[in-house]
Amino acid sequence: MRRIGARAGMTVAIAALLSVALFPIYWMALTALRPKSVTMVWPPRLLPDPSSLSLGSVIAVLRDTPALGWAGNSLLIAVLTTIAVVIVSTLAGYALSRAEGGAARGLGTVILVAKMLPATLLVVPLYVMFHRAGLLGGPLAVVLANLAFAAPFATWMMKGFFDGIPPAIEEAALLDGCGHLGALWRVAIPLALPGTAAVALYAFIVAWNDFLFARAFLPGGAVTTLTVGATQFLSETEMEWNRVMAVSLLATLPVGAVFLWLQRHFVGGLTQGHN
Amino acid sequence: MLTRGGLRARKARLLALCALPAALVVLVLVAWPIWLTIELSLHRVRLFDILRNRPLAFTTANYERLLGDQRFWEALLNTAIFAVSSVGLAMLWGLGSAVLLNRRFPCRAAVRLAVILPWAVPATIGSLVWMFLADGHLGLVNHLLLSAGLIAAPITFLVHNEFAMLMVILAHAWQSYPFFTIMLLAALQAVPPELNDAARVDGAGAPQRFRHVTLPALRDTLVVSGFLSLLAAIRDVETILVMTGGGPGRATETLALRIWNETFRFYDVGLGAAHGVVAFGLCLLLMGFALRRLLRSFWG
Repeated sequence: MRRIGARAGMTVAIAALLSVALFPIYWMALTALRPKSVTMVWPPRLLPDPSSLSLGSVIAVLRDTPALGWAGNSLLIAVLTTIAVVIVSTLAGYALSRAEGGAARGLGTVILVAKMLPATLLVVPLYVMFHRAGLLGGPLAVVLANLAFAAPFATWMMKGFFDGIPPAIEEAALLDGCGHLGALWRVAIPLALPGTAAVALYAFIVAWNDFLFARAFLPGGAVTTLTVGATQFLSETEMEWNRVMAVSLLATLPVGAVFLWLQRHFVGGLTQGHN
Repeated sequence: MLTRGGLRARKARLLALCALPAALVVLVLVAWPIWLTIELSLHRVRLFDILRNRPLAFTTANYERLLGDQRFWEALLNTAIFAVSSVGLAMLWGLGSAVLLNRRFPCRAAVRLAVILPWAVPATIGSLVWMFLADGHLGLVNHLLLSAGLIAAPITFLVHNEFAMLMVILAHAWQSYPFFTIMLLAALQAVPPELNDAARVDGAGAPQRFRHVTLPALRDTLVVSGFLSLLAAIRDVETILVMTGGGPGRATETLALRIWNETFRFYDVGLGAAHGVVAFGLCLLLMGFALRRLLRSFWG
């Protein structure tokens, strides 16, 4: 009897967890796939009626608004950020993992502190710097800001991965006639590839999800990213929820798909060095 | 044939070269901006002064204004309320979910994935969805409360001071609890099952086992993740900027929002930077508490 009670309690608890996690996402998708007329109905219809579901709103938003351009900007910024972060953090993670002495420790500590700094703080001075450098309004400004934000944590993750690779393997490569650079390029980096995948995913998500830097450094209107674009359908006079949710769905799908695909690496990378 | 010393010097040179890009990023894109913030905060400077490259006058007026401004102190209080409540809520929900997901049940892998899914939703988008849920005309929260007979008429949540704060806290907690779930689940999996079995043999009930076995094993993870999340909540701009912009009035205006509003809404870069310096100091102070512990786990 007690067993059945415990099992029922467990089922209820898991149902509660799942509904809290999934309902807002379900509601977003449902609103995006419904015609406006159904969204405006009160009381709201919780369940989808299959006959009215369609990609109509999503297609309309791609056709009638600059959403396609926003998606292109989001993708460009995310890809460039990912490349930059992977290069910077792989090299630095290797250096921090293998180096001894005060300089490495100093840089590591600075990077650790930088990782915890509020990105908000950087917006204003970076705005001024990018203006002076003539970068304001272009995607490069957003890429650099995302790089500054993502590189410290990525470096921290990569150091953890290189720590797990015994230096003896590289020393063996040295004995076989590899130079130091060869040992890094042919041995250490390939072995750390799962870490690089985790870092790439992290950087891509940071850049794709960014709102603050894109909002501050890009002019807005048609020239901005999906996350900022989605908010542009809300005004004092009208809340176009169907369009907001259609763009939201577009902004969520790539990250959600990549996340589901690679979550094992990502979760592994995140918990590195905490246990 | 190279000597051993020559080899070591080559290796050191390679490592220094490897560290160079990261050092440049930290120097140019983190250290310099912080220095620039301090400098801007000591000048009377508005956004168009910068855009026209006008010379600036040195002043401490920004700090005098900040300290004498009611809004600053309200923002500090709002920051504390927002950060502590949303992180507390996320931590509790994360802890509960981690303990539950650590037990055996059918489809566990899929359920685990579903529970951390909010994390894959961009923060801005999560805020937009919660904004829609909280909407005064079409919002689902109103529908549920009305159906349950808890309220007589729909509430426009984001227009009421207390409700607006509650909503941004809920939205932020929804986005941040998966981080706790992931970290705590990993920590739970590192607890040897024998420990629990031994406690069970000794006659400890489930609540006692949780208190004396599970919780101590999670303490370090709870402290580190809680601390990181607290910093994340203090610096959060997206959630609040999207949902309320700091309003109604300034009911949800946190310190991070004040930096944004002063700079990009009122174009007072100097005053915004002064708020930035204060926020920076606050974060450093908070970091001081946890840095030692983090550094230890970092260097192993």
